[in-house]
Parts: sequence; structure tokens; C-alpha cells
Amino acid sequence: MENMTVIANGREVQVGLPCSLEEFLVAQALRPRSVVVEHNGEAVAPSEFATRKVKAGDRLEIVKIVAGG
Amino acid sequence: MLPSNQPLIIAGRVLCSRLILGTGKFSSPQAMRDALECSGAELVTVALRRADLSGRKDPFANILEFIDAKKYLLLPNTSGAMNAEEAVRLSHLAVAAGLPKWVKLEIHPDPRYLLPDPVETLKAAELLVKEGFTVLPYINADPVLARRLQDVGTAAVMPLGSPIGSNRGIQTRDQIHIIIEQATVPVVVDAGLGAPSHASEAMEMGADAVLVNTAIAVAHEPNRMALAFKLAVEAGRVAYESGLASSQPTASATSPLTAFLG
Repeated sequence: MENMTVIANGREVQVGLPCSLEEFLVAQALRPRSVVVEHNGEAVAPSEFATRKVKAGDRLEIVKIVAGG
Repeated sequence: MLPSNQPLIIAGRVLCSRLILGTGKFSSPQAMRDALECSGAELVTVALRRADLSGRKDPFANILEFIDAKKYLLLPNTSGAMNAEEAVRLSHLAVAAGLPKWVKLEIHPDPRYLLPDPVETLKAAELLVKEGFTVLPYINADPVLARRLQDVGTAAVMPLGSPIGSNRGIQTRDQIHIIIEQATVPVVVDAGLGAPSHASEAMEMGADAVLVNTAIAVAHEPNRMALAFKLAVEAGRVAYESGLASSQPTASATSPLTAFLG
């Protein structure tokens, strides 16, 4: 399987191709339903994770809801 | 019949409680959930953070499991944003996460005092209002900025009493008075309210609501402190609606002073 590099939360991360956003999150040991993702600057709803493809060089910001004031 | 307080209405949403609660700094999500219940709050803030990609377990990982979305209106904040662009991106992510299109806009790049950046806040507010967000901006107690924000269509203004988490109460009293006087949207005193008396003071001044987090979260007994703030907010509001007596420099007798011993 071919590998590619994406930038996730500011760090380079290696992933296998082809890869959906959902597969990427699972590979990072994250439950897809527990996070929300900005993919190349665009906020992506969890319902789109399975169909959204990740490509080499993509920038991902993976955030979650936390406690805050 | 006991008189009841007027409800608070923000962007058409009727809220019976004028205490807004922040969910940070609690010792556990369970402690947060219980204090929330005791506070009677209906509007509750949450934040967004980068997920930890290291695979470590986080006890606060699923905060939303501890906040009943049917019972509480979630208000995502943009804490962590250093400028308008980041605040807008965080707001988009909150919507993508399924949160309401409401945002507590806070942009405070300086970590020492966490004072909000007025220029970036106004810029972000304009953008978010245009996108249809209900925007509640956290601001320094600046009456001119408060006016500019309400003019661009924010749903409230949230001036600080004193810096976030400082527990110093209302150090901005004169400015908050002016903000309240000229407000066309609800005024929520946010930050620095360290004791129920501070919350009461804000409400007596005519603030529409207060936002409290640290003082409840770090109390020895958060549940009872949440109750204390709830009562203080109610007391302050009843006092405001009842019309406080004016103060004067000299005494004014409460008993007849007519002489009776000759």
C-alpha cells in the first residue's frame, strides 16, 4: 500500500492510500463521532467523514468539544 | 403570589435563568454536570480544542455526554482564537459538530490577562453576524465598543467585570453602567465574578445576566456554590426590578422623631 503525508494538527502524519477522513481518524485512534474536522480550511460535518477523501499534502485540523467558560 | 422575575430573551430565545455557566475547571465531568443542575442555568458554554493525536485517554473526552442538549442550550466559545479569522473558523467547526449557530465570541491573544482584542472581536462579529450566527461577544467594559457591536447585530454584549478567573468582582463598574444605559441588546457581565455578591451586584446594576465559571468550578462544594450564585442572581434581579432606593449622604429616619417625653 502506498503511503502519503498529511498535516494533521500541525504535525506530519503518514497514512496509507486510499483513505477517507473516517479511515484517517480511526487510524489515529480517534472515534470519528467524537471529533470535528477542518479539511483544507473547510469545516466538515461528521456525516461526510466516510465519503470525504484525504489526499497527500492535505491540511487537517481535528478538534473536539471540551469544557470551557 | 410570589413575584417572578422577567425572563431573559436573547435572540428570541426565552431563558428563565439569568445565570450562564461555564463548564471549565471542574474536577470531573460528573462534578460539572451536578453543579450545572444546581445552578438552574439554561445556557452553558463549551470550548473547542485540537484533539490529542497521541492516543492518550482523556477523562474529559466526551463532555457532551454530561450535558443534556434537550435541557441546556450549548454556547460554544472561540477561546483559543488569536484573531478574527481563527474565531470564524472555530465557529464553523462548532456548527459542523452539530452545536447551535450561537457563539460566545472571545479573542484574547494575551495569556497573562486574557483581555479581549477589541479590533479582532468587532471584525469577527461582523463576519459571523452576516453568516447568520447569534453572536455574544466577550469584551472589555468599553461602552463605545459595546455600541459598535450591537450596531453590527450582535445578540448581546458581554463586558468583563475583571480578568477571567481573577475572582476580583466588578472593577469596571462605571463603564458597565454606561454600557447598560445605552444597550439595545442584553448585557451579560462575564468574567471575574468570584463571589455570589459580585453576581448580585451586577444584577442590581441592571445587567441582564451574568456568566460564571471559575468561582463555582473551584469551590470546595461546587453544587452549593452553584446554588449560592443562582440565589444571588435571582436576588439581584428582583432588587433591580423592584427599584433600589437611592443613596444619600445623611440619615433619613425610619421611625417618627416627634418628642414624647416633653
